[in-house]
Amino acid sequence: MNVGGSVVAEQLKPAVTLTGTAKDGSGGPPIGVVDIGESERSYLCRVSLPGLKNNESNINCEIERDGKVHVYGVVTGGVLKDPWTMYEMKVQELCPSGRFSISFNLPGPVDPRLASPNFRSDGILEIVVSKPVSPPV
Amino acid sequence: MSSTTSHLFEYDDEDPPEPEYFVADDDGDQIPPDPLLKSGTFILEPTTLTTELPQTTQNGVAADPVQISGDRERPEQCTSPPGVSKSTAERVTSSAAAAGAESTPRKKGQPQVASGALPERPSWLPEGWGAECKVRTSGASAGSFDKYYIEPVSGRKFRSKVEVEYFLQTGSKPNKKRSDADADADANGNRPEKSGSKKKKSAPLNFDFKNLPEKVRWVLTDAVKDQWTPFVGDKIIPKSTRQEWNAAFQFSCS
Repeated sequence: MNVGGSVVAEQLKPAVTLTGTAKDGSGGPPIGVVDIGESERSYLCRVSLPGLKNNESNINCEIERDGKVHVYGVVTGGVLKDPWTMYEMKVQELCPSGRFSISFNLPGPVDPRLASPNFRSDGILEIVVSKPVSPPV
Repeated sequence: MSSTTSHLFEYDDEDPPEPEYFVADDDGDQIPPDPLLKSGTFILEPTTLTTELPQTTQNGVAADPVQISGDRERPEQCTSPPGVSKSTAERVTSSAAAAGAESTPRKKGQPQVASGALPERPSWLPEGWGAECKVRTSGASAGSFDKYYIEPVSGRKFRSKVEVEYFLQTGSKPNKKRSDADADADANGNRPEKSGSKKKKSAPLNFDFKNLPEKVRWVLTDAVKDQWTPFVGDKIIPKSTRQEWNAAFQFSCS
């Protein structure tokens, strides 16, 4: 995301300026934005899961052979640096802690064994799934 | 030949007049010039020793393994006893191997492996490179020879002319040895982009292309390493099956 300007001095409500494609995005939670691409032999889908690349989130990705994809896990909210301090949330725009799931359909059937999930360090989950393969002759 | 032993360790001497011992390499003419060892000097290889030496010599440094071997006429008067020369030989060969000497330090763990310089040095081998030959002493293939070519700078070994030429062109080895790739497969798990690139194009034999499971659940088992583990139902897919999937995935997407 493109956050414009310095927000350090601002209080609580950060002055967030969105530019470019981020500006066109919906105002909803950034978790679960999905892109889907297709090649001759496989599909690529990208799911935004910011802040969830950790071992506590327990990310699962179910792929069915009819092309249904079901991503679920837990939003942990991260670990606070000083756990003894209580914060009363003044702004809550990120996803609150708790379970979540994202379901969508790929445009066609796939072979769910032939998948290569890749959780990028920028918080985008990329999944390449092969279309069903005819056995080699 | 009749000069004093004081010349014995003057390696700079192009034509040493009185070499005391002679390394077993009778056909030492085939060994190429070495950047560190002056011509006329050779490294003593304990296993190549063929004859006995009196325990003591005139100057009391009998065990020094770097010998001057200009004395072609006296092959019968030879080298130090293996027991004495062992440690010093290893010391010198290890330092010399880095500079591309044609003999390599022997690992203590495998003393039974016979090795030595190749009887004939291939003409295509670049100057400075070492060549050696090892005989397999155990297993079904015992008795057969393995040739190795040794790169002078790093001491890396190559097993074939093809490997050497590939290295000369690209600076790297053509492909990992099979055993290395197997060891890596563990770490890579289900990362097809790292492992199995060799398998591309060749169809995976054991993969059942027709019977697709209804559903596969991929679980992020290690977020740091981005490792995903597939499950069908509640059953984890064993690594061997996963590797087949990997191969099939490479095949299908290539």
